Amino acid sequence: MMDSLLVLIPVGLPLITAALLLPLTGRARLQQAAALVSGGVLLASAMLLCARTARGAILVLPLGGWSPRVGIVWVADALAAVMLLFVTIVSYATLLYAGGSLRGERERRYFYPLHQFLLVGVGGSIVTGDIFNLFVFFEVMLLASFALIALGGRARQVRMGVPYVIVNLVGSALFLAAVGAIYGAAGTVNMAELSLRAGGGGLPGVFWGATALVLIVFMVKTALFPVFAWLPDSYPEAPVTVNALFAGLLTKVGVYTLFRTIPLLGGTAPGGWLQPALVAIAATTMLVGVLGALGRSTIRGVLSFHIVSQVGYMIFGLALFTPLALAAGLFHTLHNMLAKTALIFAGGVAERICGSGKLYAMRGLARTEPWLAAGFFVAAMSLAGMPPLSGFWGKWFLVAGGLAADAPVATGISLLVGLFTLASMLKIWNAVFWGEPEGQRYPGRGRHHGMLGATLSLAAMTLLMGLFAAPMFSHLERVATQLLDVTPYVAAVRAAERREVHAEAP
Amino acid sequence: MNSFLLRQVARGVLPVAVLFAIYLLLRGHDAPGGGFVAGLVTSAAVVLHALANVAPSERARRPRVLGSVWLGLLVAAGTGLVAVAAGGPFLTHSHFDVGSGPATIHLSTTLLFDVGVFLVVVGSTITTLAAFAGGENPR
Repeated sequence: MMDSLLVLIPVGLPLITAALLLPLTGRARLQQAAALVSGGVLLASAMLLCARTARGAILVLPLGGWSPRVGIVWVADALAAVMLLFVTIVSYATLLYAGGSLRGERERRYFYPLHQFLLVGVGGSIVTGDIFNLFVFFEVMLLASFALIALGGRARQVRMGVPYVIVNLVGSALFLAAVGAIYGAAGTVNMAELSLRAGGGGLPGVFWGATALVLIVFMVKTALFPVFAWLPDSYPEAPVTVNALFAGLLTKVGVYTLFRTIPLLGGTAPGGWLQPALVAIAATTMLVGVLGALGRSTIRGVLSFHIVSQVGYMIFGLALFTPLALAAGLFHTLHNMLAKTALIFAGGVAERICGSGKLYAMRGLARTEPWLAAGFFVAAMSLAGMPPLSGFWGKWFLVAGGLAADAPVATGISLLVGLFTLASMLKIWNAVFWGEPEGQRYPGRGRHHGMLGATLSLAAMTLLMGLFAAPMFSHLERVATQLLDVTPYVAAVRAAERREVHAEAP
Repeated sequence: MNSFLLRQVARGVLPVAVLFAIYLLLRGHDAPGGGFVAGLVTSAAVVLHALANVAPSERARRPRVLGSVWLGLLVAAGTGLVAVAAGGPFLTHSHFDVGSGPATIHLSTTLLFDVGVFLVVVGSTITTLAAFAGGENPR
């Protein structure tokens, strides 16, 4: 009972909250307060879920009591739990930040319900146990994100958002087609069952083609090279809060689905080309992302292009297929959710004070807004990989994993990219925060408790994550071992199948 | 649009479409149909009716049904939660028969779920179409 509630809440609670927020449309403060209460419950339940799954327990919820063979299962293992925890942290911080950051009636009016719908999609994508359901939750997430990215409706914003919508729509169509082909070839869409059948061998080429297509769609959502071009132009045009929410959650859901499906399905893929291909893609993504970021001329432009580069690190960890590297990739993912969101928060406040996001349009923020500068500095140094912050440990573990797994070239690239990251963070620091104060057109505007509090608490969390890197990493290593050793997941889902849960025939 | 023919047709279509939608809604659990398609049929009829009867100057009178979206969401999620309260998995539905002999009617709580879906579909479809027709923000 308790267990099934814990699996249900990450999807069910935001759904009900969204329904309750809709009649409050037009009363933004009340909506924010209600969303914060709901977010608090979500946070508590994610912590409970983490504690419950920490020792390797896997919670399975067969929806409607149907057998997983024909019905829908939601599964929460340690990986899902830790992702959900960080998702709720980022989304809670975004809610705090939104109060001061959303501008005008058109942004404020619809943000909070859409935020909840986005959470439904994110939570569902994390706990779902079959790929068709994953498609459905991707759609829920995308629909909310389409509305969010155009929130406010400025002409340039809508124009830049169109590629995002088109790429994702095409991605969804391909995804659906691939799921159909997989069902036709393997007779199931349940991931545990698919994993068994893929391991058993004898599946037709169609199955592997469709699986490859699914992975490509996930790569699009994750913004990996060469399918990242939709991200860097569309994200900075969205309102700051939405930009932060997308940076913290959306690409990370793509990363999560890759972490989830590749060990389950790709481990037994024929040909053995998957791993070298992934390593190459990850290395190229790191490099291209950071070079693109260096070329951008607005605060959030640089930060958004950086998302691409960082995703490369996460997938690099996955591509090596060892528990050490996989745990490092996970650590990096979690660190990035905090640091990147904090950076975009801080950048958004700076943009507000200056009235423009252009680099060098304004200087000297460190003098006038020391707290904001501190928040930015800690997060930026964390992203660049300075000790003792979380980004340092993420890279440290990745380098250790890379060398242990005998991938020296990609490891070298990751170190080089670290230098470039530092350079682009210093570029923002130098252009916006350093020097004598000038060009600050709206000096008082950044002093909002919610905005500063959200930025600083996320920055503090990257510091804490760095200080407690050792216990956290050893937990993630257990998670990674469980993930690579697919059997516990498959066994847990199949055990739910044998428990004849459906009391009567329909 | 001010057309006599369209108005007459719309007037005739509306009740038939609503009856058909109810039929689809009721048979939905065991046969093709259900809340989603019933909602689409209803919204199509309502929109046709609105097109035929609302002159451009009277845009203010176009249907405002956004409320049915959240009501529907709550109903649909609520029927799933009843099972959780009773200790079963989310979205478990109960079935029961009313009456006896040939007059038996098979009822199930999925019908309530379908009503929720129906409300969401009607609300969101009509709101979207009205927004396209009106040009101003739907409230």
